[in-house]
Amino acid sequence: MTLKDILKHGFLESIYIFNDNIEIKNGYVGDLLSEIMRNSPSSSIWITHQTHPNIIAVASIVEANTIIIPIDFDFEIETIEKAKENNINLLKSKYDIFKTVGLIYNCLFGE
Amino acid sequence: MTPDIFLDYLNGVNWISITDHNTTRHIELYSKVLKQIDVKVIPGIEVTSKEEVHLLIYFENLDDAIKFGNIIENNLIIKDYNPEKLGYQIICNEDGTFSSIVENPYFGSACSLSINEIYLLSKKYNSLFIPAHIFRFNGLITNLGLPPEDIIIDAVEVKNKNEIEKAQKIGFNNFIFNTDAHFPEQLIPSCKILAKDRSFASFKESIIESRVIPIWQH
Repeated sequence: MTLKDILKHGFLESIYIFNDNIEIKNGYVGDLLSEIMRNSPSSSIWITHQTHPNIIAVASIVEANTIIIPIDFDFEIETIEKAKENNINLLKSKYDIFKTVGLIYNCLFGE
Repeated sequence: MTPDIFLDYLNGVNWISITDHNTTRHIELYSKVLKQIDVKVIPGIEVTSKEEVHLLIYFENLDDAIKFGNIIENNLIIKDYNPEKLGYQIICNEDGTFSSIVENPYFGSACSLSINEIYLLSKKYNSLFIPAHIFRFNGLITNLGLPPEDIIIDAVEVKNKNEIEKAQKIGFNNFIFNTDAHFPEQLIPSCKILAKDRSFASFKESIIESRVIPIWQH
């Protein structure tokens, strides 16, 4: 599925998109960066409460192409700058992390 | 930050602690080099706990630090890493050339031990247990909200007056002020420690009796 297909559902706000045709094969949820580095599958969407610039380096390492944060969170300016340098899509959900994950799971693996 | 370059940036410092991330492999070499110019070294480490909280632990003895460092290294969760993406982990010689490359584990990793486990382990040695940059990224309060129960925290690291006030409200009374230098040009003196001498006992006493005077960097 492409990111464009997920965006059609309308619950995600674009913060920075470098490519909405990118393929999303899987997803991962977590806030501990070492744990993400150890386990996240490639070509994933990563859903996290972390907004620190380090998340861009971590996403690049695990080849996650898109990061989503829940409502009431904001990426730091430096994080957005780094996302531009590293070709990582940044999105913000209209919902909390639980509902966001459920909706994305349904997009990827639902009927 | 190899020893040959490091020496040019010491700016009159005569007491320093080496606290690499999750390893103590370089302390012996740096201690030897710094001894030649009468800079006293306190062996230490900056451990990343399971909760991704950065913890500074300072030791009286180099041997204890090395033993502790080995335990931490064995518990790091990222074993194999890609040096092309993360940078090579180089062990250097006195003249700045490299002697070996550490391929595993990845020192930037968290370890599998909780804060409480690291605390208990640190107290098997004569050491000080000091959470680093508690209000910032990977800080104790940022990541956990409150100090854990059952831990006696010797001091906390703060960066400015505002952070001291916030820390006092939580109940912390003893502070240290570090450079957190990752590059030689960041090696600016960070505090004056009023102490009888440059022994570990005096260092500990000065921290516990609030005789650490900040030189603010921020």
